[in-house]
Amino acid sequence: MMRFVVRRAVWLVLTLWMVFTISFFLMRNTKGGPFDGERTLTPAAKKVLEARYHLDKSLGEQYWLAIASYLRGDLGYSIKMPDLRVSYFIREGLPISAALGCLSLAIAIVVGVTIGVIAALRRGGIVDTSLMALATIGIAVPNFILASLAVLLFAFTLHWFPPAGWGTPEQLILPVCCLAAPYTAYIARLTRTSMLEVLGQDYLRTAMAKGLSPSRIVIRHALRGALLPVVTYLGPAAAGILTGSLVIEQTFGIPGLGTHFVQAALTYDYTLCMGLVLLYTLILYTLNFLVDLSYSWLDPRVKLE
Amino acid sequence: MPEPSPSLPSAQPRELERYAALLRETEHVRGKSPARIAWQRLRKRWPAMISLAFLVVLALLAIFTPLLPLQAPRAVEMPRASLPPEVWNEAGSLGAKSDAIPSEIPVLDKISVKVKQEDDDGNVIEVSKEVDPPNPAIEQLQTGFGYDELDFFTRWLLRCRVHLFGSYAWNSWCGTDHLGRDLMSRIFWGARLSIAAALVATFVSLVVGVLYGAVAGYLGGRIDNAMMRLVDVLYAIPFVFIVIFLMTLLENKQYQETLAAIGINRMVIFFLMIGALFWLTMSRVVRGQVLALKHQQFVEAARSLGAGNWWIIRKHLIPNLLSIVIVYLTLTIPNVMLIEAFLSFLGLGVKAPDVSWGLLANEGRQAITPVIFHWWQVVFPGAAIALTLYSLNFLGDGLRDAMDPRLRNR
Repeated sequence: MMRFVVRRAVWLVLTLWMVFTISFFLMRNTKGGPFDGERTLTPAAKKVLEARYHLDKSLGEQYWLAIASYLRGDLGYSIKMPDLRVSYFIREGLPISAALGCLSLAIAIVVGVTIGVIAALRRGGIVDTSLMALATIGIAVPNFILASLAVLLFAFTLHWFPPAGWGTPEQLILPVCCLAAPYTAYIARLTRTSMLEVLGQDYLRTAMAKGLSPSRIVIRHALRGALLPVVTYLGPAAAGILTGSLVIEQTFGIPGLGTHFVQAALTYDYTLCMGLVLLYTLILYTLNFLVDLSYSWLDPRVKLE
Repeated sequence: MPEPSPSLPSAQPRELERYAALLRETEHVRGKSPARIAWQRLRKRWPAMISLAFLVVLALLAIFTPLLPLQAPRAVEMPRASLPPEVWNEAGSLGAKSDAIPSEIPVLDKISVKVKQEDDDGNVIEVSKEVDPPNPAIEQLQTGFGYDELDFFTRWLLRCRVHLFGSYAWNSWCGTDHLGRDLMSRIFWGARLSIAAALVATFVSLVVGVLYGAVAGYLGGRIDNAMMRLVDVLYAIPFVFIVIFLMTLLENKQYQETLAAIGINRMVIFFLMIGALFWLTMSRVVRGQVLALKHQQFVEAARSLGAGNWWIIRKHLIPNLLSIVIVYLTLTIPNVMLIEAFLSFLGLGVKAPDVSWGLLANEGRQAITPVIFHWWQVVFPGAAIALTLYSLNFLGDGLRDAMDPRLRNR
């Protein structure tokens, strides 16, 4: 157990370091630095700027200074908005993105598992067939198309929800649904398959023979075994929701991390971009780690390596 | 001494007849190859077959797009901007004669021009630079007809089209975009790029994944362990973000020039990057299969019969790997298309004037605001992407079931 945690931590540090180093040296050679504005700088201003970004030092020194400051948790300043620190964008965007992502993931799990269980219990019926057809559509339609269509239909045709913005509960519904849709569909399919497998097992027949109520059988006995594949899928689902939030935030005008990241990439704001990439790596790594831990907790047969 | 019995057959004529009958019978029996069995099983699944038919039609249409009487995908016509789908009205026509489309794009010598450039000290100096001169043939294609610089095959198809249909062009059945370009034509031309991107990137992931997985599985032991541990680690990295970041870094002029010097342009980098995203799963699958096959009895039987390594690889390993690789290919292609569309949608992938489906979807999204409501600019590109991904997913699922040996006799 301890070994597992330590090994994961070492890999995390190595990964972050690799990403940092590669991007650091690629970035040094790019010309789009803080001096590429339309105004030409006076030598004094240039010197101040150079001192601020440590450009007056040698490459090796710059590298160590950068690593040291990143280790202190200081991600430096944005290139395009030099008054703002990268940490400012993270402080502003992270709570919003986290709320959006957690809500979507929660909805995907709850709705997906429910649909999957219902479909499995009604196997072969019209409910099962139509739910699974819906799930296949949900998986195949990319969420940016779904988002555009949802805005078209629910915001501009039916006027049920506002098309964009952040802050009120109504503004939350469309983006969360669009972000959660593909994962809901996938979890529903997974739950249905594993539920069908579990329902055929002997211990369920025993439970039935004991005279337990059907709801108790499904919830206490069947679902626990059926949830394992769903837990395995949570790692990829979290990664997908993280990625999907890029387009969803963009489409719905939500000022989260994803919007900042896309804007940074489009305006070549390298420091901001790199800070956010490192943050995303950290988040995803931690999530995967937690998923692995919970997996071994749910199924004692699984050994952590 | 008794005479040795005559030949065996005459001793047992009955037996012989039986063998002959058996032989005659077996002549009509044909063993079914795994591919044939899979095909027969696939044929029974109508969702997969409909998907396959749709994809074949789509691929043919994409290849022969220049042959169709479509309007030119880049002919900007501001008076016709953002028209809703029209069926009956008279639409813009191509207005071209076949001999007006150049049959050959001449290669012109480079000319040197003086460019102002800043040197290291910040002084402006004049440098002479080799550039391509304006090429009248290309200009005619681009400004005269609204096509890109075309390769030989496409140009030839286009000339055929003008021969066949003259200046006739279909109406704007899908409406026009904000610059008055025909949306249907753009969807068709975008399909070419989206499909090509998907195929190239999938091929990259195929090569890397199969090589990596096969080597790990074949060598086994400690090397296999280390290689697969690396894959596990890479799984936890948000590659999409890193790809976006690297794309913006490599967009820099300096890198572009260096890379262009060795013949790599932006699109190639884009394809390679997407391909690099998807080799992980493929390598895992291939490695598992190789590991399982290595100790199969038929492999050992072949080896004990004196078959060489190459024979075993060619006759036993590759055919058994092929089915699983094909299944994962059909499941990778939609993912790759999705990522391409995703990045283009964000404005980080394919850039205008190239057309891809993600780009069209992005343009469509911008056409929906409280003030303007051009639904067709979202719905049609979106439908194209969704239908294609839907069919690919269905085909992949169907193939997986059809090739699954555990389900063979059901």
